[in-house]
Order: sequence, then C-alpha cells, then structure tokens
Amino acid sequence: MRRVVIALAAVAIAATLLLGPGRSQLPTATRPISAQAAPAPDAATATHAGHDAVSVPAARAAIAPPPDGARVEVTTRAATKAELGYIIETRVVRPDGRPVNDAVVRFYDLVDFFGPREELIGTARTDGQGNASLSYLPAATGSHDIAVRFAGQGSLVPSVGTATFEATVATPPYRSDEPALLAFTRLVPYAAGAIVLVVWGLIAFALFGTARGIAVRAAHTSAKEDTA
Amino acid sequence: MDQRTHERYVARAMWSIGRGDAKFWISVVVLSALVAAGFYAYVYQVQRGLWVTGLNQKVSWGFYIINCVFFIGISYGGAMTSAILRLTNAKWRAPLTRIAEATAVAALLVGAIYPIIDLGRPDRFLYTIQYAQVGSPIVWDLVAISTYMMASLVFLYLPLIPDLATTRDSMRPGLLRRIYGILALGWRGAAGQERSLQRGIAIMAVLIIPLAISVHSVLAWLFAVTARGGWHSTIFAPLFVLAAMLSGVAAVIIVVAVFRKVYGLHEFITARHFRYLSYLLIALGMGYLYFMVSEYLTEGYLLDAATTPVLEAIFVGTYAPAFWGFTFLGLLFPLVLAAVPGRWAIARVCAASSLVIAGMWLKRFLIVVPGMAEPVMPWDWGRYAPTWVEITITIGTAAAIPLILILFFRFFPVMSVHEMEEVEGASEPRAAALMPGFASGGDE
Repeated sequence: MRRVVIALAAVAIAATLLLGPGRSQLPTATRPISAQAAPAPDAATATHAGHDAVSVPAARAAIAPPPDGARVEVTTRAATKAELGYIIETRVVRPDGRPVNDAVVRFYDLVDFFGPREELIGTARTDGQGNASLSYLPAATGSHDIAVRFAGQGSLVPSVGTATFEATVATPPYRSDEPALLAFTRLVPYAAGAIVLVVWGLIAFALFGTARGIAVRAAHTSAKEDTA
Repeated sequence: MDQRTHERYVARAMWSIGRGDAKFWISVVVLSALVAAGFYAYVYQVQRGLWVTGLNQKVSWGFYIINCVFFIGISYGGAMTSAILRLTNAKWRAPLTRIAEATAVAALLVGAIYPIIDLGRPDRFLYTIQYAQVGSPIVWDLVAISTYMMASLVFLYLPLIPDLATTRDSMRPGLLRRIYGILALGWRGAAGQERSLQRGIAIMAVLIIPLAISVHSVLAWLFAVTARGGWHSTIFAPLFVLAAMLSGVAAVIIVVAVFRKVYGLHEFITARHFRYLSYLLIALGMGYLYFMVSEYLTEGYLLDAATTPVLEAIFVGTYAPAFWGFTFLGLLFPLVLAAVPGRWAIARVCAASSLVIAGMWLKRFLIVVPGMAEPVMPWDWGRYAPTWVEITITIGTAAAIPLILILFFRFFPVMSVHEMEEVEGASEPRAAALMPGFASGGDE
C-alpha cells in the first residue's frame, strides 16, 4: 500500500514538472475573471437586452492575446427561441489571424457563491474556422459575466476572452412534479382522523354508557328498597 | 352457586388485597430499587444528553425503540388474549383475564414512555402535538398509542366493576370502602346492570382487537415506509402484529404462572389453562416462523442493493449468532418444548415462554440495529453498542411491570370473581386434549 502511494506521488510530481503551469492542458482554474491575467484593454463587452433585442447585433469581443497566445473572441446573442436563452459564440485565432481548429474551449459564468467564482457552464470544440458556440439559459436574470477559456494548444499558451450580457430570461424555478395519487392521499389523514374519532366515541360510549346504566339501575334499586 | 363457593372465590381472589407480608415488601423494595436505578440513569441522560448512550448519527434507534416495540407488543398480546377469549366465550378464561388485562396495561404504560426517553429532551415531546403534521407516522403513532391506552384502561376497568363492589362489601366502613364504592358505580348485580356491563365489555372486546392491530401496524410502518434495506417490507405490519401476539401470550403465561405460585391460585388456574395457552403459543409461533421465512425468502431471492448487506450481516455476519440463536433457541426449541408431551408440563411451558420472550426481544434488536448499521452507501457503516445508561433504563422499566402488577393486585382482586361465578357449572366446550402430557394432568 505504501509503495503504491509513493509511486502515485512520484507520478504526480513528474507530471507537474513536465507539464508546468504554462503548459497544462487543463483550464486555468477557477480564479475569478477579475483576477485573470490582463484582459485586453479593448476587451469587448457584449451587452444586449435579451430577447426584446434579438435583432440587435451583439458586439464582438476581442481580447489582445499574450504575445505567444491565441486570441479568444467572445460574442453573445439571444437565441431565436426564448426558452433556449442565449447563444455564446467564441472564435479562437492565432496571433497571425489564422483560426485555431479542434481547440477545447470552456465557458464560465462568474457567480457569487460564497464569494465570486467561475461556474463552468459548458465545453465545446472549435471548428475549422475556429468557431464554437454554446446555448446558455442562466439560472437568474440580470448581468452575467462570461469567460471563455482556451487551454492552449501546441505552442499556443492558454488565454481567455470575456463578455458581459444582460439576461432577461432565465431558467424557471424548479418545481417538483405533483406526487401521484395526491388527490387520494390528501384525504387519507382525514379518513384516519374520522376513524380515530369514531373509536374514541365508542370507547366513551362503552365507559359512560355502562357507568350510566349501572348507576341509574343502582339508584332505581335503592329507591325500591327504600319503598319496601 | 352456593354461598360457600362464592366465599371461597372471594377469599382467594381478594387474598392479596391489603396484605403486605415479608415477600411482598421484599419484592416491592427490590423492584423499586431497580426502577429507581433506571430513573437515575434517565436523569443522568437528560442532564448530559444522548451522547451518554450508544446511539449515534448512524444508528439513532437502539435499545429504546427496541424496548418500545417489545413492551407494546407484550401489552398487545395480553389484551388480545383476553379479548379473543371473551369473544369466543371460552369458559376457561375466567381466572386468567384479569391478569392478562392488567399485564397489558402495565406493559403499555412502560412501552409508551420509551419514545419520550428516546427523544433525549423530553420537553420536545410537546412538539409532536404543537407542530403535528398529519402526514407524519410519528403523529399517528402517538394517536394510536394514546387511543389504545385509553381502550386498555377501560377494558381493564369494566370487568372490574362487580369485583370492586364485592371488595367494597367486604371492607369495613372507611375511606377505602368509600373509594371502592365510587369506583363500583353502585353495582348490586341487578339484571339491568348486568346487561349494561356485558354490553360495555362486548364493545371493548371487539374494539380492542383492531386497536391493538392498528397500534402495532403503525409501529411497523415507522420502519416499513422508509427506503432502508431490511425495513422496506410490505409484510412488516402483519409480522409485527404476530410477533406482538407471540411475545404477549408468552408474557401472560409467565405472569399467570408467577401469580398462581405466589398467590396460591393452583385450585383455579390449573394445568388445563396452561395447556390452552400453550396451544395459542405454538400456533402463533408457527405462524411467526412462516411469516419470517416468507419475508427472508422473498428478500433473499431478490437481493437488491439495499437489502443484501443487511441479510449478509444477519445470516453470516456480525449479527449471525444473534439471529441463529433467536431462530433455534428463541423460536424453534421453545415450540418443541411446549408441544412435546411429558412431565413438568407447566414448567416446560413457562421455560418455553421465557425463551420466546428473550428471543422476541432479540428479534426486535435484529430488526432495528442492522437496518440502521448496515450501509445504504458503501462507506456508510455504523456501529451500535449500548452503554450502562440504556441497559439500566431497560432493566428499570422491565422491573416496573411486575411492580405495577404487584401494587395493582394489592388493591384489586387478582381474579374476576364475577366471571368465575358466571361460568361456574357451564360445560367446557373445548376440552379435547390434544397433548397427552397435559391430558394426563401433568402438573408441574
């Protein structure tokens, strides 16, 4: 058992040294967007007013990539059907403008859950044009900060693109299905209660009826004895 | 019936009233000491909390719930025995019914306090009334137990009325005589009074059977409506009812044998009574065996994920000694012991009853504890070992039953003189001796 633990620890250390923080294929963690390395000054903010403004073209986000990194552009727009929410589109391009295909991008929504943190909302893979999209129906209306993270590929280091949009539709609150036989089961306690009342009535009748029967006849017998 | 026979019945039935010999006081002191020890342990638990018990987050039901089910079961058996014998008009019931009914009430008083002990904080008991939810099995448990308790008290009281009058008449003028007079409701034995009394007793005898069944069914449903392995069984309610009857009849046999011996009732309670009670014990034992096999067979054949660890633990695991001990020493062997003809028939029936009572307690343990201790999730194991607090409370409450009975029969007749006179001279319709050991009158 100890050998297995040591072997696993050695593998973990070796993997960390080989891959390194800059080479990791994993998304760079869950730090909030605000803490990320330098979004570009011209980082696009795609805002729109939800489904009332479907026709309004969303602004295209453009992030200045790191010197050796890809550029991740993020746009958002309302889906054609309200119940589908919003479409988050991203495009990953190399510094020279060529698209990055078959790249894994992860979409995050910045939420405040015991402090600000990124919530993974989906993963996609870019096509030949470097495009990927995600349909997203947020849990709450209001402003949403979206981050799309590219984990890096080959010589391209990880990079991130962000966008903000104003959601006017959200997932309807969860409501459990009405339990089966509800109309029947609602009546059961009342029926049981009625039976209990009948039983108590019978007990009372047995006790007080008997007591009354005995006492009345006792009085009657006493009266007869007195008369005699 | 002649006056002499009446006086003989009265003298024997009321022998214990007001009598306090050395044996009586020694019994009272010893039993009171045990009850006091149990009370001390309970106060200790209330002061410090439930952590002084072996109960824990995983196994939150232990000795207390086992004892609750066990003692209420004994009560049920006592009430059912009396009710069934009354409804079938079994003539031999007369000297037994009072003891059976008193046992039922005493065991119920003890069993009913266990949910409060198990709460840890007794003040929270009021929450079950204050925040009662009609969908909660606990609320219905409270309703069922309180209704059954009232019915049991009335069922004990009504047949007592003529004997209270007899006691009143045998007393010298004074406070006690006045109290007996009030309780006797002016009974003089008139035909109209007799009719009223018989009607009341008949209503209660009919009512007490479904009530007792409902109480034990509700107790069983507390287990069966949960999705736990070993508990979620459709057969649980009838299994509990049968177990209650079995342990109750066994308890009645023991109590009858003890009072027969101590109060010198050999003339009235004979080997014949034990023979009939043993028939009841054997029939119920066979029925329980059938139900138990049926339950384990269906669950064991399916072996779903939740049930498998429980069955493994019971059949071949931690609880295997308890289970096989119960099956052979607490069920099969006692039935054979009671059924086999031979000498010392009463002693054998009493020994069988003692084993059945111990076995049925063990069976309740096997229902409650493995069902909670065995994992619902693979990492979810639990352990339970009772502490001195639970053991002392158990002993104390168990001692309360004979104490209540001894004190009760110090003030009330141990046998129903009225019923004995009623059945005096009546032919015995069920005299067929099925077992040679008893038929030969193998007494003691």
